[in-house]
Amino acid sequence: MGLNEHSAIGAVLSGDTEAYRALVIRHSPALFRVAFRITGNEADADEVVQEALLRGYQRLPSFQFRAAFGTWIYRIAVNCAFDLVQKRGADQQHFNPGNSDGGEERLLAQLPDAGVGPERLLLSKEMAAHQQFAMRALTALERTAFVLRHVDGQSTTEIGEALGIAPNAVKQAVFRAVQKLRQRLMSLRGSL
Amino acid sequence: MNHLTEEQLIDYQYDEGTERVEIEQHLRECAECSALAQKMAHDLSEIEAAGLNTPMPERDSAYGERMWQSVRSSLTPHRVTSRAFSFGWKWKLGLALAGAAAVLTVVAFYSGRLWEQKRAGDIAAINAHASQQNVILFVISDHLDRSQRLLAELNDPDVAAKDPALQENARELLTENRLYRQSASHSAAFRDVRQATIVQDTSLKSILDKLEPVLVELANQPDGLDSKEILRVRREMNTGSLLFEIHVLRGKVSNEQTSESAAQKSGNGLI
Repeated sequence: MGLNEHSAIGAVLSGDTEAYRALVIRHSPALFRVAFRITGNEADADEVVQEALLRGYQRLPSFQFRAAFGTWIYRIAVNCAFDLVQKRGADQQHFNPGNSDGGEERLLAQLPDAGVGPERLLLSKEMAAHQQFAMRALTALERTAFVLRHVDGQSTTEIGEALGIAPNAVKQAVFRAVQKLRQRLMSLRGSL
Repeated sequence: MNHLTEEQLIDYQYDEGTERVEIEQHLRECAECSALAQKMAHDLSEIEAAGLNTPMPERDSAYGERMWQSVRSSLTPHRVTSRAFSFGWKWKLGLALAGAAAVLTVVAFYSGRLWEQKRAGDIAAINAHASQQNVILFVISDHLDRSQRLLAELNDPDVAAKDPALQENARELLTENRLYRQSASHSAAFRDVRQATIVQDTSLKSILDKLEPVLVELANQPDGLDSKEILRVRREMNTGSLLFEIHVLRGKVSNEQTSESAAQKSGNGLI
């Protein structure tokens, strides 16, 4: 958090909306990365970034200058992504991850063509489908906590602070995620 | 032999917690816990080997600019003056100012007494100082008590959303909090109290600072507070942690009051 960011925030709070541009440009890529890891979907990740930037702007009066803006907006993005995954989960209640109901095939069919060699493409599509299928077995909290812990390398305390829950609840959510993922991947391997 | 809890085993796998040596010792001695720990480790290595980190899609250098263009039209300029200080709030602000002025007058009065009594004798000075602190502690204690109740209410967003006075209370507390923060920064008497009540990293000023953005969020929601919004504030602003800090500080304030009055009684007994 440099002085430039402090001045930009000060300018935004004084009514200069254009001053927010520098903050948006600087932090959007990092927000996209965490949003994509949690949602697992590019369009959803873009939506999360926009939502986080808007929420950040609206809540800027409550920003404490002692904190880093990057950390603050990152937490907002994590919460936006968490909300979206939760909403998507509620929308897809018919999907039962415990059954082989064709979910994997649907995912394979939905994956975009990346335009590389056919064998390699098939393999990567299959692997990506397995990964997505396995991740869909997780609740929004398990998925978010797992991604932040194992992929983003955040400590359980940091995740707890970002999500507003106790570190112990984070640990349990991450471990439940690990157990579910392992079971899911084992059953997929067995079915191939 | 007591077996390790799941929490201890998770801590061990993530190399977190403070009991690593004890856990290792237990695992050497207990086959059951050792097997469970190995299963956990195996789960983690399986997941890492599966490479669940989906390849990250590329975003070019213009991504930030595109995001800016997509949100730009939705931004309305921030007003310099807070919504909480709008016309409808002037009478409440006046009331709060009057209250703060009264507190500061009392503080000044006791400070004056303290100055004179210092010259009169040490015991009398201790009594006056204790009285001065008690006045401030009483005022702050009431503010912390009400803030604590408000934060505790947020723990159940569904119930809190049905409380018609929630936002009103947040606005009142916000106005008071700003005044107490200013007083805490400028008044020597408050500093005395802070020094007496600071315990490691928990201080009155720090809590008032942390409380303010939460109150701003609750007070300034234009469409009122529904359970989703309350949940968001609770989660993003970590009000649970703040509630705990206030609880700890109030305990210290209470102990401070008890020890001050004990010291006062003891001093009186010496005379």
